[in-house]
Amino acid sequence: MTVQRFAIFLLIVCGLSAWQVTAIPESPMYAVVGATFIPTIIVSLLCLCGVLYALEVFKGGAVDLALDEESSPVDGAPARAAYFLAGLFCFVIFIKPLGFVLAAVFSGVAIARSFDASVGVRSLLICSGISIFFWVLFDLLLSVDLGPLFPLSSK
Amino acid sequence: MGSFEALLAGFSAALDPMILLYGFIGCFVGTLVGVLPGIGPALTIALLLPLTFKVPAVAMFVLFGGVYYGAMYGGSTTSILLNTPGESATLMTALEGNRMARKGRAGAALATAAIGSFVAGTIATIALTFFAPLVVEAALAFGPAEYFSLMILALVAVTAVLGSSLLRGLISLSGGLLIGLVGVDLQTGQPRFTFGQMELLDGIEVTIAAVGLFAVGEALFLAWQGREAKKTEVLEVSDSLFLSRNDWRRSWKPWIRGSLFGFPIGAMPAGGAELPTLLSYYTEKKLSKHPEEFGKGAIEGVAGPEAANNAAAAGVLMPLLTLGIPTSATAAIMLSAFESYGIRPGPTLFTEQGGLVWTLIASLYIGNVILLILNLPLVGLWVKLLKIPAPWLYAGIIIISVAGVYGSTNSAFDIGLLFGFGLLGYTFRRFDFPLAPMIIGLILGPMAENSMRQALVISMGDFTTFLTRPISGSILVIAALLLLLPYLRNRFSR
Repeated sequence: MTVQRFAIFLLIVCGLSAWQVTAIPESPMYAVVGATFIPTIIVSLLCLCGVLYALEVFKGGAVDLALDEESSPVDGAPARAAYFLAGLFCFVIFIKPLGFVLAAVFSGVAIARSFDASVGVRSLLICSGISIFFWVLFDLLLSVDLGPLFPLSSK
Repeated sequence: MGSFEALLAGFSAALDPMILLYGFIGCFVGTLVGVLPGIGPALTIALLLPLTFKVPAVAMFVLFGGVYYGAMYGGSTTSILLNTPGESATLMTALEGNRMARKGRAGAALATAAIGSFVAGTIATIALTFFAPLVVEAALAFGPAEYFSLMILALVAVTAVLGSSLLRGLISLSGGLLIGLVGVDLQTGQPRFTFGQMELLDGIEVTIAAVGLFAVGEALFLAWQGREAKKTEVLEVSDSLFLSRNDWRRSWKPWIRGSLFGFPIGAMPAGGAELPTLLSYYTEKKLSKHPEEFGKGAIEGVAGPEAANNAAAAGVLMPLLTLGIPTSATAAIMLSAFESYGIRPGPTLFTEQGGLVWTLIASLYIGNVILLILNLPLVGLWVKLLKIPAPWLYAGIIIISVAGVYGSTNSAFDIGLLFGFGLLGYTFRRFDFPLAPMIIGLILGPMAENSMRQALVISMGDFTTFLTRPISGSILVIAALLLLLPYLRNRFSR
């Protein structure tokens, strides 16, 4: 993602928001301030700022830490970001069929890889330990429902 | 009942063993998250929000108070031993404290930071105790128009004063306001910005947005950057954790001065902690008998800014408790915790929920003592925490983030949303957009809309009510001036 692409993404968000304001249904109830009043003001502000930002970007005035000497990424940034995103994707895909702990283990291994840890038994064991620790802390001790420890098992 | 009597009643409730335990856990967890890079009090409190359904309000807010104060204490350890300021307010602590540590005076730097935090925290809590009722008295005259104007002031202040660009601040703010509007409009019953998704009809949970932006976004940014795995060394504490007579002599005045800078500025809508720490640092440099030591490890340069930082943190609680206006991301999340208990912070909080408020304030005094005891003797433990390798630390942060979000709804859609906010957090971090306006906008947006509607019902649709009512009009004028501030600042700095 470059700053130019981000500016284009922002303009698309502005367009989608404006479309959603027009999609708000008319209310049959009377209200001094209707459902569209505040959204219209906010979306107008966002669109105005979005356009100004896009102009700033295409004039070359925007900040991108990728180009900053002290903050720029070291070699291999796309691969690390890809591992990280794969880890997040694992969570979304596996949390329902496999349960919290197994999804967390797969996700954790990929995220650890994005911080340069090698994928192996050690990583698998550490991520299993972390996942089980948080499952016990949240589900058993704090009564926050994370589902069963393993799929198909009952609590 | 006067403030003092109410405070005594608060102490008797706060000293209840169960409440004390929550306070202790809060302080411990707060210090832990303050020490660990990548986690802050805002994220921690957001992760604890699902517990509001299970824990009584008093215990929960005592826990939150402990987390909030504890994170301020813990942040100084990271700044001094790792030279990694978690935020701009601890920049000076890192600058001077790390130099002291490199000279073998890490113990003295940690001690002056901890004792300074204790002194400042206590002074600021005393100020909160006695000034809050005065603000409440004044605020009782406020109607919906004044509240709307105050919220506008808070939104403008956070956007215009914090961050390096007004334009990027406004984009972040309007994004947050927009996200706050997602869901069914409670007055007209119309769905807004839901894209036809049933899951969005109830709106977007603050926890999801805050955890995604702060935790997932920061972790993704650090993974992309790839510098965490090659982290700089953690300095050892080789000297005594007791201050020498000379260190005491050089520290006590900066602690007091730092506190006096921190609390009033922190209590202002646009105050923050950055300005008082800078003011304190440069004042100490000017007043010091050893100005040549500044930049090379001057103890005053740690004592003053650290006190200012902690006093400012306590100051932030003033507008939150008395007016219901959050002026930082952490305060915004605490406001949403109040809402989940059905409690509305503001002037009536002191009368309707007096027990809760005074127990919270009393627990802040107790928390300061706990933190002083906890910080210095356990410094070895905090140092060990700093040595946790980045892969396991960030894998753990993502797992705990998902646990906090998934635990409240058991929805895979919410996990997807969490990661969507994570991507947004990453892009914001990379392209230098401030996150605080987005979070504060998300929380204050619907409240501002509600106040606006109430004010317009009272004025029978007359929009000039916001300008013709003296207090409301004055607040809006201040907000307009604040909006011009970045331009004036740029003009004068040229």
